[in-house]
Amino acid sequence: MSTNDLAEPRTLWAQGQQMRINLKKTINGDHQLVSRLLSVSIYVLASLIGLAAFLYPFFTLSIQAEAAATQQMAHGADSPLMLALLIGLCLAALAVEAQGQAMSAKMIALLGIMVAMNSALRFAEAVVRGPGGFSPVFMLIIVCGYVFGSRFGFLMGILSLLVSAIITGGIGPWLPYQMFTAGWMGMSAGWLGMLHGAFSRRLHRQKPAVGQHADQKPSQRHISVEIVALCVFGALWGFFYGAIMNLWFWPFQAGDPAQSWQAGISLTVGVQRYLTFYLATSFVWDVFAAFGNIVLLLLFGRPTLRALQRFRNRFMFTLDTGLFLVGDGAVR
Amino acid sequence: MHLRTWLTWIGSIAVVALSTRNPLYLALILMIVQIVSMRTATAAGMQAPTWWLRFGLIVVPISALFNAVSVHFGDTLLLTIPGNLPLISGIVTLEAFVYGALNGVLITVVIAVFAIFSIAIPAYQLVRSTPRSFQSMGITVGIALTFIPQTMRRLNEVREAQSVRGHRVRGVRDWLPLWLPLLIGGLEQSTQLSEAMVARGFGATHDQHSSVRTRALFAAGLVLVLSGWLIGFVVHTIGSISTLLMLAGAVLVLVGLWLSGRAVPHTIYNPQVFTVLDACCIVSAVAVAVLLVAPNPLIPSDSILYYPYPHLSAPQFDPIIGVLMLLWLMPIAVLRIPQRGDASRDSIQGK
Repeated sequence: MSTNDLAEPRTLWAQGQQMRINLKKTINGDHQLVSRLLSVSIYVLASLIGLAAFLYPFFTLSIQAEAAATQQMAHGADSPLMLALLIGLCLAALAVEAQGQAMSAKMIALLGIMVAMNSALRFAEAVVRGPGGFSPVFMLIIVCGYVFGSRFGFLMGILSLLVSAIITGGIGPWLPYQMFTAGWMGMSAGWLGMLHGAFSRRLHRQKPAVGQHADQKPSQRHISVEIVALCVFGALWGFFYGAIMNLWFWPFQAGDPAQSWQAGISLTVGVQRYLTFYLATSFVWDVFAAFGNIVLLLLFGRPTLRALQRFRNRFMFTLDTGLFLVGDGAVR
Repeated sequence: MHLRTWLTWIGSIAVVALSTRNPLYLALILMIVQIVSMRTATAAGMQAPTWWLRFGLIVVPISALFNAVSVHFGDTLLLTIPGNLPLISGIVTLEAFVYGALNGVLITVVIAVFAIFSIAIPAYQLVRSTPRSFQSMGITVGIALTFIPQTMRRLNEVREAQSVRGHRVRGVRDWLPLWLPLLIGGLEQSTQLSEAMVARGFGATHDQHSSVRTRALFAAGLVLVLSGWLIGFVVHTIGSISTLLMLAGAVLVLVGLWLSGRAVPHTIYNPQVFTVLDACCIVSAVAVAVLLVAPNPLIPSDSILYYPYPHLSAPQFDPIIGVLMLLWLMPIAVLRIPQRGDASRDSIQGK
């Protein structure tokens, strides 16, 4: 028996193994792509349905104006209940998706502690009321979403409102809407963080080193830009939160016809009526909310951001060695 | 009483309360809620919540005044606000005042109903009843509820330590030396907690990621819901197809939730017992809500749909509706008042 005869089976075996590894790599890659696509589509679809559910009075107005002749107005009364159910359904789908993707032991522990701190802040707020719509809970949701990403921000938003409602006795029909809105706040704060990261990388024209975030050692100026961006974001959400939360009860609100929801009028008139209602009842309240967010982010934003970024860089890493697991669990 | 029984009972009262403006029925509902609340508090060894009453004393006059000043409609003129002030100038009527007050009472009733929830359902029971699909969120909520008292205690410790160093809280800025140690301490605590969880095998038994199949079901369900909605808006004549699509989408999402829950192994220590009385309570609550809200020939809905505009009239009271509402007192029969010696018996039985 020659040496070549011995080497041939080994070569064949090695080639077979290599093919197996390549196949696994392709399947893993495809699986990741499909998984990513599904994840993005669930987020987009659930958010679109949630948005439509909040904005349905405006849609219903114009649709019902056209449909009045065909007696479609009768369905107007079913809409709020159906949409409340849909809000719950979308919230459930989003929550399962977010927890399935993001929940390691580190994440669960961090989220639990952050939610506990935020709920303690809301408890303190329930005891000593701030002026108008001022609330300290939004600062931590915004900063956590900004630092840890949109999924974490979304979970932080919904769980902060849920846990604080449990401890302050604030459970009611308004809770799913509050959770959804606060979840959106945290999620969009994550997008702001992504946007800022991409912008600063482009601005500095340098790729971050392996294992290092683009903003790992931020300069004073860098932090100031972040704080200004967060303040503007917080101020906008101070108004958005109030304006969105009004929408769930506005169709039930009876009052001045110039401010009330009514089936059968045009979209423009509907928006005008809502704006009048918002300016008359909520604007001043929300000014305090926006101003409170700015003050808290200006005073506490910088050290909070530093502490959270430092924690993220120390603990929230993933080990990419270029190796991967094959079916039998062995590292190749 | 079982969690499902409480949820049905609260839902039933909230649905009926939201569909009436009749002050007599609202007062009756408030009375029933207060009786059940007192009984629940006694069973739980707590004080009945009365904060909703303070809330009502503030909300009802504000709502009445706001409605009276901003709605210039009704026959009984009280006064006229002169000038050209937007929204405010115009006639102030008794009808608008009463309607505003009724809105305030309605909000108070809803708040009072949900106030029972906080005393009737302990937080641990709520966490334990979390559906299996939301296991990770349930654990997070459990951690948060456990750490809230610790966070408060740590804040006190930090405050005392800073006070010893001469720190005084005079304004918002002075909270920073308290906030930062609290935050950093919390972050360190989360690291220790995650290490302890991993050391005890958390996440080692199953894949935490949802399967592609479950997520595909969610995505397909949401696509159906959205397309059903859009079809309903664009083509009014095929409303049934739109409803069917939305229902099919909702079913797919629910199946996805069920499947993701099935993937989580779950056992309950000392499960809650669902008794015959619980079933009676649920049946009566659902029956009352259906009979009072859904149009039916047995119950005339005239007195439920009280409307003070354009001319104020006395509200009617239908005795049949009153008797039906009294069925909401059923939890009193279900709730068990702990007797002396129960605690020692429970501890012997390891409960």
